Amino acid sequence: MMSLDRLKTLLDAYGADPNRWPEAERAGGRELLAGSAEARAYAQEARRLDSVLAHGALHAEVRVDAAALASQIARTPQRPQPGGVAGGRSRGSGAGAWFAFGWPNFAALAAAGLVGFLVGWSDLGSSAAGGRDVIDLLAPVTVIEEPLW
Amino acid sequence: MRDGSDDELMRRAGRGDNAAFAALVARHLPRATALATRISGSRSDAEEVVQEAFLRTWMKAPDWESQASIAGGARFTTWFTRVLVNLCIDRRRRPQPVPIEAAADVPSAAPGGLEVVASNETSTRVLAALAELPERQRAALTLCHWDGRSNIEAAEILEISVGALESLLVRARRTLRGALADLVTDQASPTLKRKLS
Repeated sequence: MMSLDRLKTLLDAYGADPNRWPEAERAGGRELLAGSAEARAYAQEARRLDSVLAHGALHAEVRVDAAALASQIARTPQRPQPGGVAGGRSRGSGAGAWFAFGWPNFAALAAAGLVGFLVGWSDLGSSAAGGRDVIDLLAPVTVIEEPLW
Repeated sequence: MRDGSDDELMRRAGRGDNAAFAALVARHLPRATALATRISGSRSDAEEVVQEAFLRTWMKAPDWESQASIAGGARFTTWFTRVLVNLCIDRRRRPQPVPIEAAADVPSAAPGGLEVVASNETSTRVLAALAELPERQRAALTLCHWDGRSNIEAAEILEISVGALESLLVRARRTLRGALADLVTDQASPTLKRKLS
């Protein structure tokens, strides 16, 4: 048999309608109500509050068109777009990953080779100032490489 | 195209099926709007929150299958309602900036900032008293009393124990009983009212 204290808690929490109570406790609560005038008095008190709260029923008007909302949201990509900086590529596997990783190497080597050829051909390496110029020329290549490595 | 369980529609939406996502939105939009309106206390806030919740649903869809199985197959409605309720609570807690020069001209809505249309004076009083409750108490009462959720489902949505949910409900109803004491007394039978007076 349910205790009166437990029934009071149910009434205080869920109100007087047993259908709102936890399913496992409905039978015990109803049994107590049937056999106890004190329990029925508490239930009557809870019922009065329920009656007032019933005035709080809302008829919320839906002003948003469901199809238009869904269509608008569905234009948002669910995944990061392939080709972006982060990309959808998984590094280290597949031909795409190999090309993504490998092409900048060839570009860097070609650029370094070209600079080396120009240094040797034009004798830019004969002065310290010229050396700094070479470093300045190479630097952008390195900066471009870093994010891709 | 309204066939299929919520979970099935989520899986299909996760594969980029726009029609499945549209069906999911159409199915849940009315109830979500009503719930968010009551918890947020503002129709315009509710609409923004509902849209944000559906956007999160769309973004979640690709991972739905794997994560749902890990979580023991949590139902879509529980997850979605949790997102919705948390967005409502976060929005109400966020300070609403009002320019100093405009502050004096802000029109007063119903008490507690409630903008929803009340059908009569009693309704206005009830909705205003509800709006004054702490967020968690209002959310708990809304889920159990007006949205028809079981105590177990409401506790899952709020990510608390059933005992903690009952505690929130008890405090909410006691506060409302105090705030609406005159209306509650009016509900008493003539015999009881004579005894009380």
